[in-house]
Amino acid sequence: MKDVFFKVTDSLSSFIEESEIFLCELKGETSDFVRFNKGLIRQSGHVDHYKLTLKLATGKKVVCGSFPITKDVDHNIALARKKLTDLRGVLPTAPEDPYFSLCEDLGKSIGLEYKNVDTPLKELAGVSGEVMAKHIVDYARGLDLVGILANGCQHSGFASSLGHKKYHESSSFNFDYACYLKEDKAVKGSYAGIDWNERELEKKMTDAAQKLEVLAKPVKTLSPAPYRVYLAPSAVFEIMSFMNWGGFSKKSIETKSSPLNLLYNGKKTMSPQVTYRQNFKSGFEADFDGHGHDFPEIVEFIDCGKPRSSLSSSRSAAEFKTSVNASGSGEGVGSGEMASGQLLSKDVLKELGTGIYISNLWYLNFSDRPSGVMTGMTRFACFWVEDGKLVAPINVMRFDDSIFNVLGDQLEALTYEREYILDAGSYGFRSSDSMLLPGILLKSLKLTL
Amino acid sequence: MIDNLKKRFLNLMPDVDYCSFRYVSEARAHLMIRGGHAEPYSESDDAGVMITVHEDGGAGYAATADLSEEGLLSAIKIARQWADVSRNQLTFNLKEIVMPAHQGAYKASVKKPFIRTELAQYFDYLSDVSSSMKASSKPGSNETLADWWAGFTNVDQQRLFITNQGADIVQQSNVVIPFVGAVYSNGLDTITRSNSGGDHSRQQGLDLLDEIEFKQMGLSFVDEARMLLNAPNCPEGEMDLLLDADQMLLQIHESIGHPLELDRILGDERNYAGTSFVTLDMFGFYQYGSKLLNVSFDPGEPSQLASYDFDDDGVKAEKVYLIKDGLLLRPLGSAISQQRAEMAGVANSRSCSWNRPPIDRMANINVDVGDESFTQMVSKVEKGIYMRSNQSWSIDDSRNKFQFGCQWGRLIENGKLTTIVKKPNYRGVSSSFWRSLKAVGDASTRKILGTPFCGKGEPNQVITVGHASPACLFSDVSVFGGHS
Repeated sequence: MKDVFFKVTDSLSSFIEESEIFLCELKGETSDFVRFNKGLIRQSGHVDHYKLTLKLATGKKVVCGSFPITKDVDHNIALARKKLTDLRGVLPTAPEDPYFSLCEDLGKSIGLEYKNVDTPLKELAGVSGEVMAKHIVDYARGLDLVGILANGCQHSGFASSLGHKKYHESSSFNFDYACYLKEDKAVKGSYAGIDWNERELEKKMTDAAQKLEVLAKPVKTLSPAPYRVYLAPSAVFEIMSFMNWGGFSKKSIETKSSPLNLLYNGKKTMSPQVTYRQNFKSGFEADFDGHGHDFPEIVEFIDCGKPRSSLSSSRSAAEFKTSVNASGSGEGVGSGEMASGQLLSKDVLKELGTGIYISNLWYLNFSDRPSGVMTGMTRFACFWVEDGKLVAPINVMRFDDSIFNVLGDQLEALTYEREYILDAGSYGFRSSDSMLLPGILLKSLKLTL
Repeated sequence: MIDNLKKRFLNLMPDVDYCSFRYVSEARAHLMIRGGHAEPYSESDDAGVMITVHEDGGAGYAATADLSEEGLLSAIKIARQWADVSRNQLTFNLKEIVMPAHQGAYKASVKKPFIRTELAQYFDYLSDVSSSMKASSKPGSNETLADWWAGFTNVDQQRLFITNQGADIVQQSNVVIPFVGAVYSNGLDTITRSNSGGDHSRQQGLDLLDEIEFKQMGLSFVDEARMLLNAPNCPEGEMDLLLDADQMLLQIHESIGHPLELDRILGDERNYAGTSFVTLDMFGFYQYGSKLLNVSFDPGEPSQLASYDFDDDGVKAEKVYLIKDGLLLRPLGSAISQQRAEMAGVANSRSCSWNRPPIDRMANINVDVGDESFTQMVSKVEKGIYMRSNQSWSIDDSRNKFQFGCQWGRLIENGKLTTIVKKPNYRGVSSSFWRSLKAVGDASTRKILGTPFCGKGEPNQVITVGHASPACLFSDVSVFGGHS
């Protein structure tokens, strides 16, 4: 796809007028999607989806148009030229954008690149989505397994009339699933990466079956109250993904809409144990944007509890006079990393003592966004723990508490071991977001319903 | 173009038990002025096809934007490969499923279509709204208008559905999604007042902006945001709750619409969107709400966001009551789900575009009007609160325990509207909440609303849904405010 993309953009370079600049972004994927229910296949298929986004600018006037492309170069060139012509027609009537900027430094010109969190650069494994689906059905036999397998290649590209040429490609599979005992009692699991290993899948299915036996114990219904809680890395993932709703966004911070306003305006700090940053090297996403900028490898958001940087897209950087380190208006963390702590995973239950082990959280939202107060639900295999022993699964409970308690005053310890979680989201395109996170032991979390 | 595609699809139709070609093309235009500055005009053209094959007990799909003969043949081959993989490995017995084969067309009327060559006029209009909003803001000693925006997205979509069973359906719609809002801050607290990201979206042209008094809406949001910033926090307590239509939207969506989706009840969504407290044996027997509650699936409401004549599996769409006099009657499930569950449903198999398979979704889910005026409902309340405009939404994976927040609240004391309060929130349980419905507003309180952003499914997809409702009054709801 890289060659197809650059042939199209090379063709555009001879099509623009002297006063014009074009920027061209590619986003695409070729993906198998297999949906499971009751351990069998619910829906299965394949999507080839490539989108080109063209920006045409003269001076401070800029307009933008996107369209789908295929592997047919001539077809794509015709479409691109037509879109450019359309945009040229409306450009004179468009208002000036004082915050339009692009990076004239051609920067890195990245070749084809595969990314893997464990190994720097690797060749693709040869297992197809069809084989993966068959393995899943085989090893899930007897389990009420529900989930989604996504497998394939994701592409990002950027080129401009100034001579930029950047490309990024990453291949991965992501099998996100839950094994159900009954009603809402289930164990959540995930198997994601580059090298599909049948034995690893078998191990995960066996592990799920064993955990279901613990879920079969009589259920405990808790009363609303504050509780001592351990949040597993997958639960922390929900919280940090939720903080992507403008938490670290420069635009949200400057317009006072960030849930972390109180952190960035110095009124609150997090626990000194909390250090959170973006690290492109460990993630799957491209580290360039659609304006020619290459992102720094590391962006520190919180350093020992104190605020550091935020995320600025090209537009925010121009508006608020910062440097560009994010792509797109969402300004969310795509390759997050939280520093580990001292608590060994084998000691988690002992240190928790009596309280709740929360494996997953669900449907987070704000009770009071400017104050950082959020609400959400427990979900999947959460347990009541007494004196360091798993005693009973719990019925779902709602929590309502401040992010400044969860990552601040009420944070007792972080685990030493961390878990790498690849986001299974697929709105529009498969997500390439990921996080490397510890578990968190909390002195108290308020449960309300 | 459509006729040529139809011919091509029919020529390439494979010899299988069932095959559908579902083509979607979409032209989207987005204009926004934020903080007094125009963002770049952006448009997107998208077009592609999803080919679904049922063959010898297996089912598969392939989606592509390559509409050439070569591209389509390749997609057919891939769909058949996936049908082969899933043969006799499907969750249900595909050989027992019969797909419909209707013919028809649907086209919504558009009084004032989006015209690209009038871009300058559209930006002038939005600029006028934006500058008026800024001009109306009154900076105080420590409070500022931190952000404000006015914009819209126009989406013109065309769908063609052809099967080897004889289905032949063409549908066209145009949707306008207005965005307007303001943010006031005093450094410690921030209030946002907006149309919640598109609640007034409708299937019509740009005449919608005049109809909803877009500019006046923006001005009132600036005014209300400043007022709310200085308002007291919503008090905590059990009280009557009067919800305006623009919060009923969210209430219906989360605790009636989603729980009644049949694929959810059948377990398909348990890994992601969740399950439901509703089970198959409840239909026809379960008292979902008070006798005042009447809820319909209505694909024929003119200009509502999710009106259509056929769903994306080709089922003919008709108005059906889901809940009548509070009794639960019908789930939201289309052809495949109905046959899996062996019960009647509605025409709601929908996909966001060509690149996602259709699944059971909400469309227009509406509450019937009652016979009480707004004033009458207020006068009934001894201790209560009136809430408007959704701010926040969270519910458990069985669609039961919920917590919702609104942008604006006003206390009701001894039958009168009194103090405006900020950050009103409330909690409840779906399975009992609707039984506390004690009054339903008349037609004067009704608004035709919807949201373009309902997310569900694996792989994920976002779709438009409509919710028309009057204002409604509920008793003894747990209400609370923001962080003090």
